[in-house]
Amino acid sequence: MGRLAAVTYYLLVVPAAAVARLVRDPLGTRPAESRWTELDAPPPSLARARRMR
Amino acid sequence: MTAILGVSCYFHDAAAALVRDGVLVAAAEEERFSRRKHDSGFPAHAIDFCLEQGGLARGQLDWVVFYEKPVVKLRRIAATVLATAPHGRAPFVRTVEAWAGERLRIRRRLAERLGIPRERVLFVDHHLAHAASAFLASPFEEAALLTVDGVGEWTTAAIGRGADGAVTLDRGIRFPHSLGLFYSAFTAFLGFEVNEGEYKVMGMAPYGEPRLVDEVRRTIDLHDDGSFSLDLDFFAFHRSLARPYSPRFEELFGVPAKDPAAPFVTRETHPDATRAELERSRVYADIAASAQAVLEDAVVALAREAHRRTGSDSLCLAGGVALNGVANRRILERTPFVHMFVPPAPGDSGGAVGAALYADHVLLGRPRRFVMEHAYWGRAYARAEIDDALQAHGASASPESSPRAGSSAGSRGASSGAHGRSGTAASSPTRARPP
Repeated sequence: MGRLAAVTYYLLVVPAAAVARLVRDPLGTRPAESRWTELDAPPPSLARARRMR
Repeated sequence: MTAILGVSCYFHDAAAALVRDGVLVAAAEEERFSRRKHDSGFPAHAIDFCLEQGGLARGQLDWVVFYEKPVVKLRRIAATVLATAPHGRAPFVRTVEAWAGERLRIRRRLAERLGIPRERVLFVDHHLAHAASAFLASPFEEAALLTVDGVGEWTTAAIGRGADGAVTLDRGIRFPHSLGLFYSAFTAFLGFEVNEGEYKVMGMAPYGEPRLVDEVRRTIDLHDDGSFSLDLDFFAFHRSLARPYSPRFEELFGVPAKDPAAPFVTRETHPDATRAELERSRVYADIAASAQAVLEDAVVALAREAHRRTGSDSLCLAGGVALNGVANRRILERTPFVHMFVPPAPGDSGGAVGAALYADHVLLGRPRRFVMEHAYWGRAYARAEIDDALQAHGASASPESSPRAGSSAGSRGASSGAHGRSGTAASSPTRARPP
């Protein structure tokens, strides 16, 4: 499992990462004056909570 | 009767908690049964204990609530892998190995283990579980909420408000900007184990002077609105399993990371220590004092923002950073909050309590019926059991004659009372300046 994951990392993840970083800042690490973000509303109902994970 | 089991596991301090008709019946960390410190595995023993304590058999639970959302957390890990490639191979491999196992199948595992339908397993946001563990165990009818930890799904700190029928977090700071991970980097640099030795950094701080605050502030930017940014050039927690700080972090203080095996010496504890040994320890103590001072400034700024946005004079605080009792004290000293409640297990183990209380009060809409007034929700031990354990290890104990003997004992458990009951807790619940 570990070896397969390592091969996957270099063949798929590294090229995908290079493309992704061109498009956006995946972790939001660029300088900012504030780091607050609006959070998603919590599940308002039991029914919604049962669907989410 | 409505019986709800809260469960936290797979990161650190796995735990289970049982809430019956809105009242906490039992809560325990898996480590108390497995004897593995900070055991993160599936809390089978803690679950069995909670069911036993509640007089429940398999299949008799109404709901089981997990303390975070694994799929959302996996998305954050995937984004981190993309952001750090090609330097994050080791974390990627470990993630695949861990998540290909049972983490993504936690709903099935819980349902099968507890004999309930899968749709009876719910998931609550990690920081909502933290917030609920504080507010829904507090004596307050309404309060500002502040959660601060390493990281949940994406969030590392959040503020919101608790009131009747609602526990709401409306603003948060996202990974990788994290006060918990900031402090853990210093924990590792000072030779202690991450997620274990943070209290030692807090304890080391008074031995030093915060003369390196400027250096520490180069690693973290505290913004005017209470939020903060880490400078990731100084950290490696997002791309390395070996250590959470970068080579640039090591250069900051002019000393190498402390050897974990090397003793920390002072003139009082080691009268024979050389001047060089004393000086080296003093530098590490100064680093601890400086990191602690910056953490306190950051936590106070978050609390001030929580007060500004809510106007409440009561604060409920949770998350692993709330284990830093010195920083908690600073909140009362340096913010307008008059009352503060910190649950005895504000970290991930307490998330099991919060998840269950959140489901009971918010999702099921049942009235609040519980205030946590002590920390002893774990297994009780009869005096004979304690004597047997002492005898088995060649130890003995004599009854204590203190007037306090007979009250509930902590996890080490032996008093002259009839039993000692273990807690989930790092401390007793904190309620400062009670109304």
